[in-house]
Amino acid sequence: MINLCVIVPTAAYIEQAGARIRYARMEAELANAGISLEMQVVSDLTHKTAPKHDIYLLSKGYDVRSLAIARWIRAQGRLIGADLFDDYFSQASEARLVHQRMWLRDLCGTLDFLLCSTPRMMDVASGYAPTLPVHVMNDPFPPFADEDLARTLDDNLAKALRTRELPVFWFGVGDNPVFDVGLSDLVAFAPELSRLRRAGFTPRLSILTNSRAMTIDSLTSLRALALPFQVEKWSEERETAGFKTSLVSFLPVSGQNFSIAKSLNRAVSALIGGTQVLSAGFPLYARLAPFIYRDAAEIVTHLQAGMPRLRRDTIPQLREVLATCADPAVEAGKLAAFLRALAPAVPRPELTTEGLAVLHGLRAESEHHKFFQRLGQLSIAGPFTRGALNFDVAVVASANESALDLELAPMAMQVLSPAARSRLEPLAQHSGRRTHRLPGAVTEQSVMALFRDLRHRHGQASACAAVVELEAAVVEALRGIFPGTAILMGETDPLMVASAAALRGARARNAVHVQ
Amino acid sequence: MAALGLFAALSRQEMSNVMKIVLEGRGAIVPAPTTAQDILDHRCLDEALYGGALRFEDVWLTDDQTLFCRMSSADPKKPETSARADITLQAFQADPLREVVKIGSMAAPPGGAALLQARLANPYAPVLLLAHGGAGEVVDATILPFPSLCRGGGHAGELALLGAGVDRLQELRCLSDMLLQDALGLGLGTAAPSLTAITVSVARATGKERFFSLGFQSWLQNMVGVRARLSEDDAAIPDALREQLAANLEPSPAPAGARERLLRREAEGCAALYIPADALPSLSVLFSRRLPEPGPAGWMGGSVILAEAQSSQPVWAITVPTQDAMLARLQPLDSISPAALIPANAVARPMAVIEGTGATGMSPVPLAVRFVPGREPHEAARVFSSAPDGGQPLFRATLSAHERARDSISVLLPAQISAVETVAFLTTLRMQSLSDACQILALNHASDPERHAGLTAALQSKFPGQFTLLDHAGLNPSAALNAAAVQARGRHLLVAGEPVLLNDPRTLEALMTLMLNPRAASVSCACVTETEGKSRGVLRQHIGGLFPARIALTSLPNLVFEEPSGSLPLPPATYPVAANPFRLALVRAEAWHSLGGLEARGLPNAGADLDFALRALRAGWRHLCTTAVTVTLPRASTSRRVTDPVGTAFMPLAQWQDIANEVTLVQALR
Repeated sequence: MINLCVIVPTAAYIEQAGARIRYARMEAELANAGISLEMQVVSDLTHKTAPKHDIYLLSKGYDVRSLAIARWIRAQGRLIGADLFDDYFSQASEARLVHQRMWLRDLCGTLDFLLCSTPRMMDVASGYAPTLPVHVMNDPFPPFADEDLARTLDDNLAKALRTRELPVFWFGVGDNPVFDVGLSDLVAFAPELSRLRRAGFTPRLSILTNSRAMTIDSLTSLRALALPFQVEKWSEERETAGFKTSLVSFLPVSGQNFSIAKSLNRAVSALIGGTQVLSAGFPLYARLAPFIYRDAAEIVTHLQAGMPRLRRDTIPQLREVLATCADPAVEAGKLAAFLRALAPAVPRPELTTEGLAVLHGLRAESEHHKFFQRLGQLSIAGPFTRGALNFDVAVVASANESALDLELAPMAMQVLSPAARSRLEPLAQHSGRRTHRLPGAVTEQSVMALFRDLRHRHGQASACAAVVELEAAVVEALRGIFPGTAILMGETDPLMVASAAALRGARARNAVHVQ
Repeated sequence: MAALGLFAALSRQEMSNVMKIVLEGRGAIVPAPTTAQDILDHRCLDEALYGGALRFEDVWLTDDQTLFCRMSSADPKKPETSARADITLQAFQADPLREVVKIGSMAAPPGGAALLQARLANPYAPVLLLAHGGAGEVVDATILPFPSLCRGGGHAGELALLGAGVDRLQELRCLSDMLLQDALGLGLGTAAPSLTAITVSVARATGKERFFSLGFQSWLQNMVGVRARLSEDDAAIPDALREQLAANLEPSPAPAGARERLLRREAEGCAALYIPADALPSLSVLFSRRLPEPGPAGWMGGSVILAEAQSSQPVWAITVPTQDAMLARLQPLDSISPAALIPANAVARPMAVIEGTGATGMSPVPLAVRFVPGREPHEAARVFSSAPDGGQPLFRATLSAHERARDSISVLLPAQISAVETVAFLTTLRMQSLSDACQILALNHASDPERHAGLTAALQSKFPGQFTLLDHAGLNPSAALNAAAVQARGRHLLVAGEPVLLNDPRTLEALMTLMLNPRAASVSCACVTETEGKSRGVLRQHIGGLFPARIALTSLPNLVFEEPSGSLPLPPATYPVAANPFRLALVRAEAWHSLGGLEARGLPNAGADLDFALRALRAGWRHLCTTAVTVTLPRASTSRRVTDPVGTAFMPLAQWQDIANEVTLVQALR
């Protein structure tokens, strides 16, 4: 039996649709395939509990904690991979997503394998890590009873023919902080729904979506829908009820990278929930083609004939199609074979002895800070870090601002270089857990001039280039002071991350041209 | 009632079919066949229906489905009106794939106001408005031939650009009349429609753009008679997406005669149109019978309107001047290629034409309306227009190793900027990928030893062996820059005349790349300003260059230049501009010296940069400004507006048009 642990960002995430569909539905079948699956919240990892699972899988945590976990797990001689199912990585011209791209580039250096939800996502991932083994695990469907499904289909068809009302269902996340998706797709492709208004049928639309998506702008845009509609907040129960009472699920898909890398799970849920599926736009659901309508008018024709694509006597065929792309037993078997075929973890001596530290950026994320301390590693406040957390190390200005000093907690003092340790001075007044000062960590005049200038500068745009230059100097100093410790950058501000990437790129280009 | 005939002709419907539907069996009138004179006499949205009994006050769309007409009916007691009893107004439209349908109806009581709401079957197809008298008889009719021109419609920006913005309804009538005559080809001799086909770019296409919608494509092909195709050479996209996009361009089934019209038009026209995926072709270009022929290997630019995607609210009209092939290669790598008229035989591979040859002229009519997201870009995207992490070049053209090694830059730092601000600039200059190619010429006055000491320390630290401190000895700022330029060894002069920070380490490299255009006298880039917000600064991106804005009709008329400021940033591009402000500009030393530098005597402070730019334009040089990189102006300054500093004494009226032909024209629309 292989013990597989999925590390998830929060406890709430375990209850969300993504985690339920992708992991919880697989649990029983994975057990049959010889893999025990456990989900663990990232905050539950501590240095007191050594990794006990054979293989770890990172799921949806695009931050410095994943980087630390990967190094920590890898150092313990366990295999670790990452599960990628949202494409935030292929939009090379999008400056806002530099953070995600840098995260994946950094992470891939420590991983043993990648898991992806679709072949398209695999192509994207392979661009970052051409030599890593990659496996596509399709989202599995939940158990369903043929007779229940048949009854729902029969009832909905009979009701539509009797009332001439055609209930249409749209469900899902209605927005995205970065991409124009969800309700926007619904509105853009809604003219297709007007083609349902024929042969005496009257379509009406039910929309289930998340609260965040119900902004004034998005709700106003729904005005353009050419049919009556109602909007409700999404819940699992309402989604199930929506399938039971709707004849058609409408699944429009735009052609942007984020959308075309999505899995089949919405269409699979809609079909086994008991609705016909009308898909507009990008043919994301082509693998389910026998059960996917691409033309609304065809639905009406089939309804009139009492022969919609999904009906009582085509359910066996549906099972056959699903078996090729969403069967939990099949997917579990393939995943088990993939994991067994992975080369055993190769010891990485450089990782087994190193310590870890996060250098926070402009804002210290409390969760990140606590995580590093729970892991027995260092949480370091940079020279401009805001937030009153009890850091292990703080980079502070000397009294006359001629140097940057370090304030240190006892744990940090244990990993100091001998030279630095000899210069320690006790703090006259302890600052939280920090008891000592290391004067003159950074003394270079140009760096200190930069620091003094930045102290009086307001606004992030005018400061970003100088801040990352200063941070680079601080990192260099920290590496000398903590020689066995890997310094991971905790910056979360997209502008600062982009600036850091720009600086890194410039230095790389200069190095190439100097050579 | 010519309106019925016009409606039938525009909608590609049989007259008998129209009559059958709209008269609902009442058969009160039988319109005479429509003649050329009928069309010329007809006025769209007739101002005074039924002898003035009913008047249009406003017409608009709230979305692509919903049309509103606000009407007023005359008081029947007034002797000057011929109104009698209640009038009913009905609206009809032909779905391009189906028959004529009633889309709205309204009763207008005498002496009151009324609102007609119509549910459009198609947002582009003509609307017939029929007035019925009290007995149900048809008493008058008019048409709204192009509903998308109305406020809220897809072509509203075209009306905003071509109208004066004074009386929108009257301007809608006039433009509709003109387009109608072109669309039906009467009163204009035998000229055929000019446009043969449309090639749409697949770059960043998602399929949810208006152009790919069933409503637009069915109207375009079945009513206008123009076929659309996908470009084959401007972007790589997944096969499945390409197939889907291509399928969207084939609405079915085509009504009788549609295919013949498409083929006839392709045979008789003289130019094809290339547009980005987020655009709609303008009505003017679709119906024009007077487009010039781009020639077998050339292309033509033209005006493009930018509108906010959700509301269709027009924001900008942008006209990029005739440009050479080199400028096409200096566009940011991820910018959207401009709309252009291309040879009719180049529909499959337009980029081979646009990037391979120079433009051969300008379209006389606006080419397209582009729809851009209304939400402003994220602050990271504003500061870094091009993502800094991928390692991809900024432009299609790149500096060769030889060019990188050969080109040197003399950085002129004026004395009026404080030491702290200069040091901040130097910090970002040091981070540049081409910083080793820089010679720093810092102006200072001996009477300011503190600044001298600060600058010396910073320069010694950041640019050891690469700097010279110059005593400007009481010269005015323009003269001091001239004096510094004399000592410059670089092939290019980087003038940093205001406190400025280079956000992207590729900024110098980007500016040097723009200098690959041998006619470029000066180049610059977009800038970002920051104002205090609730929790953090609010960033705003400005284009950076100066554009001709208007003529000030003073005693000595002046051309006014502006740095445009609008609710949406201009699209990413490299723009030919009238001038680059010397807050940060890279100037070709050859141009500087050949023009004698700045006009220090007449313009000791402000305006010298514009004066220099205008003299350079007259001498045949050009100025480019790119959005591929940005700089930050730490002192948040408002957009600049200046007049031609020497007025007509320098720039005779006849030459103003020359300027307009050489630089991008940007107009804010309402």
